[in-house]
Amino acid sequence: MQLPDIFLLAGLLILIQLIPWSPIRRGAMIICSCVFLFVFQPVLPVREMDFFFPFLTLALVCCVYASFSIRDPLQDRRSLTETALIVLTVLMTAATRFISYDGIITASRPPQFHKVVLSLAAAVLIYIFMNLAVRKGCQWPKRILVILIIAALVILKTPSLSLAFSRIIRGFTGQAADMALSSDLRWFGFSYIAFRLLSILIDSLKGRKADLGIGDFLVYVCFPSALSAGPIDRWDRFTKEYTCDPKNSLAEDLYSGAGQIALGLFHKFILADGLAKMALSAQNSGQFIHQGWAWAALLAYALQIFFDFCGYSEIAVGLGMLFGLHLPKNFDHPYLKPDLTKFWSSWHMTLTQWIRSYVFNPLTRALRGNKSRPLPQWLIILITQLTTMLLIGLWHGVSINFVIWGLWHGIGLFIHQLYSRQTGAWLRTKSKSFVRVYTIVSTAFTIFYVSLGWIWFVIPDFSSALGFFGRLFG
Amino acid sequence: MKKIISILIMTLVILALLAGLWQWLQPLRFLNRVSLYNHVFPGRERLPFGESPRTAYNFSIDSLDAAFASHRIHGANSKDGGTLRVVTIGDSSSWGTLLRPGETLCGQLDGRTLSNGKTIDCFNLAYPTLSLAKDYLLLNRAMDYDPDLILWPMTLESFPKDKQTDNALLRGNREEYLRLFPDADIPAADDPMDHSLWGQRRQAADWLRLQLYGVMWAGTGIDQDYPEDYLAPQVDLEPDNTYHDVEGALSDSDLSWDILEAGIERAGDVPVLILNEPMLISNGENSEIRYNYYYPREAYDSWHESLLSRADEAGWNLMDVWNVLEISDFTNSAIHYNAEAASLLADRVFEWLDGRE
Repeated sequence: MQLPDIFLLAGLLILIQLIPWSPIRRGAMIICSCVFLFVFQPVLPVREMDFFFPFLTLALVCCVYASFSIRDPLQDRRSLTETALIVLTVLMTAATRFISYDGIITASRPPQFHKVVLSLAAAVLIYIFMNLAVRKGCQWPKRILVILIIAALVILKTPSLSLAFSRIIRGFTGQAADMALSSDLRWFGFSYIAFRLLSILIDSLKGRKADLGIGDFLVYVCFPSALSAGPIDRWDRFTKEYTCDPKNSLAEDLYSGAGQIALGLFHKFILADGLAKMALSAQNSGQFIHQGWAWAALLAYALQIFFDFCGYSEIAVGLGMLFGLHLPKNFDHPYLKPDLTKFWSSWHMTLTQWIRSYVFNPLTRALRGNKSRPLPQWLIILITQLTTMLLIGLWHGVSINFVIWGLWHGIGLFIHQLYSRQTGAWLRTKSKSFVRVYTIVSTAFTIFYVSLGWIWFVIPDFSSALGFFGRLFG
Repeated sequence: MKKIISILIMTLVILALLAGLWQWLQPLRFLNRVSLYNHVFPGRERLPFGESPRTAYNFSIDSLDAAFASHRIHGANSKDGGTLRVVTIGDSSSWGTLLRPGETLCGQLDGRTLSNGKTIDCFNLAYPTLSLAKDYLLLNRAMDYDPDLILWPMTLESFPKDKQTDNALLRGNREEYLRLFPDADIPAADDPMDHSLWGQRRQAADWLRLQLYGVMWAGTGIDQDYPEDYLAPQVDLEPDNTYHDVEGALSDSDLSWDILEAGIERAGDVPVLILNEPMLISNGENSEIRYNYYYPREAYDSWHESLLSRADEAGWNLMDVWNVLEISDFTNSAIHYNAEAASLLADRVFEWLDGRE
């Protein structure tokens, strides 16, 4: 999201919020959510994919909705109207190709109209077919959707697979396959959309269903401000707030939303972008000749990634407030936490909560559930922490550096848990001033450990990362 | 809603006050003289210049105040009897395109000890633009730092009148140059917003960026982009005998001898060593017409003769090294030479200095 996008979105959300008649307001929000999928999608070297990625997002959202909703979208009048509105928005977006040779809503000129119509027809047929199957009690559509979403995530996050797929798609679009790059397939916001959809499908497979319209569901998954950097809200919390009357007055929300956006803009565009000029990067990691400045660059990166991410999240939350929505915050002063467990409870909180709900807790229950051959407690902690952090690492990209980064934190969390069990009681016997000093030292150590971990995150090449460690300590 | 309106009004009032204060105080005049370089970071070895800041940790900045404040010369200790302070001005070949700071002509002179026991303390104040006017502007600034010698490498391409004022550095420091050379034809910026907070936002941001890149300069010692590969200069040339749209040689009135004279006069008692820069002498197609991409033989020879005779008449110190390098000594242009060639030139300058001192 660039500055003009943020201001445009802020203006639109305020205007939509001012619409007094609720069905119109909801309709406007559906159109806004659809359109911004196309607006935010960057131009791609693979022809027409900057149109078809947002299109696929909408198709996926509709299919997941069909598998989750109590309402039959083919019978429910409101759902039918909202589905028609989504289809119409896609058609109108595609029709902008007749107005301009460049993209107006999309990053480049939309595909030929007949291709869009055919794709829409195919998507609608799949949607109807999946809906009929789910209404008959079949679970396979949900499983297929889970597999599809995970497969898409794996392909997008794995450079070799992404490259192979780019070659295949280039074959279809008549472009030279040997020009393909692994960065060709950048599906805007899919990392977040996928996690929202997966949580719903997992809940659905467990038997949960929701009574909400397809439009409300679309707004939850594709709320424009939360596409680029989250947060990953819970669907039940979001839709409850979205469908109820606002808690605060419009003025109160505008006031706090503007403040939050201003803070986010400062964090992102002043602090993070300023720090980026001096921060460690894959390009400069091998260039440092002075140890002290290498440390400075590492700390600058630690702050840059925080302010960048936190700034975007604050902007997202602020934009939500302009619309009367209170999205959960994603960061809670993580660098001021005295240990790694608390750090991870306050860093990208909605992602860690998601992983905790859908991976950590079920895995812990499964490992503890084996009563005949119980595993030792330390082994359960080790397995769950490593698995959780490995997944968070892989979410950033399927490459060796993210695996090591995940393991770095998994091992750190494991050691901290064992250590805190030993020291917890001992610390309670100490004086307040001792505890204060202990907290300061442990906070500094946590920053130190997390900062060193960023080396794996920022430098994709293993030997270069090791070389940088050598420079820091050598 | 009342609260929002009052906050909006308050914001507008604060912005208006800030803009008014900015217009009145013109804080950039002071700010540009403040620098973290030479205090927190080591001073830069060369003046800031570059088009790819992300890889070069350096970029072109219009403000001479900010540029000089970031340079090593600004933090240099006052001279003692044991050093000979040499200042190098000139174009990209002296600045050192594709060369590390220590590999440039100045970098390779720096630290050498003359037979009288004095150590050369060389400061590279060259700037990668071919213009004598720009050189004169920098020479004038260099005089503030009490040099013992000014080394002024130059080539014909810096002389044509149409090349003098068509560069950002001169436009950005128009008033300063007009004080030196009142007849200069530099287009005036007549935008009334130029001195406002809005009009100067870019300069303010540039000042801040320059300070931020100090970390990477301090940490890596890199101040330009070093591409792994680049095109070698042309040796097969067009059969074209025109130079700056003139067939044959340019007349003296088309060349800025007046700026060169004014520069030497500005140096006063400080000796100036003019270095007729080495250039690639092609042996390829049409090399009987042209020396290289820049120069037809006729135009260059005419200027060269004029330079020699003027130096002789006026008693200028001139080192005529235009033809001392091989084709293989040049990197990506007919006037950009490599570190070995810079070392050879440094030896020549050192010999001259040693003989003089």
